[in-house]
Amino acid sequence: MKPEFRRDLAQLPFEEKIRKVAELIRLSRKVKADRLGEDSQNYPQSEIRDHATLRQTTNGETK
Amino acid sequence: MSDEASAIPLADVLRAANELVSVGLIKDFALGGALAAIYYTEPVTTYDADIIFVASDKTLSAGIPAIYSYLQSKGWRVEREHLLIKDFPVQFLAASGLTEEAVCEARQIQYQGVPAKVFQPEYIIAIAASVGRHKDLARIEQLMSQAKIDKPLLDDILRRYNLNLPKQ
Repeated sequence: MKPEFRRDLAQLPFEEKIRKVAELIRLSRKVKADRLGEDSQNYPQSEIRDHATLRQTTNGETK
Repeated sequence: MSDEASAIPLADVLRAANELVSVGLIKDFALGGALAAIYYTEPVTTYDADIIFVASDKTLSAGIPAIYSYLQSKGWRVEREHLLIKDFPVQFLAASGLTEEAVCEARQIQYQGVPAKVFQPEYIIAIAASVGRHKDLARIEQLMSQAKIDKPLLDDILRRYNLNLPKQ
């Protein structure tokens, strides 16, 4: 963000800035929740892949 | 947490702190930490409010158990080191030395009609310099670039408390 824009934000009334902090908190929580959702969707896939790789490797070694 | 619940109930926090003064549990208080810095800078994400108070009870506990009991009786919840109002965490921290001076010299404000005090930027910088975490250094940089700083006052505070600003 440009320094001039940040300085403009600093000049806002305190109450307005507190509202913006609340918005930032909401956004940050949403990003975290979305990321967790993606991870829980991706994790079983990667786990399956890892297990398959492990099996192949183990099979390869035992052969 | 719902959108409504994640709003910051700062007026409620300040009203409660004023009540603590009225009932004699604390002598004085001021808003410190990130929210105090935001009074002078751009808004940044923070997840709690810090109320720095001058204790009426000068024993080791600084009257914190009585403060917790009082606020719990008003519906506040306790979660680890925080008291929660409307799910928003607040820390009540006893002032001493530099922070006590910061409370005494804090700027009078009105927030949504509630009288309160907020640390002056020079004290926020000095306190951040004394703590020195990564986020404190970022706070110093923000205040120095965005707030009007009384340089002689800042230098005086830093000298008296034997503090140095981080090298740029």
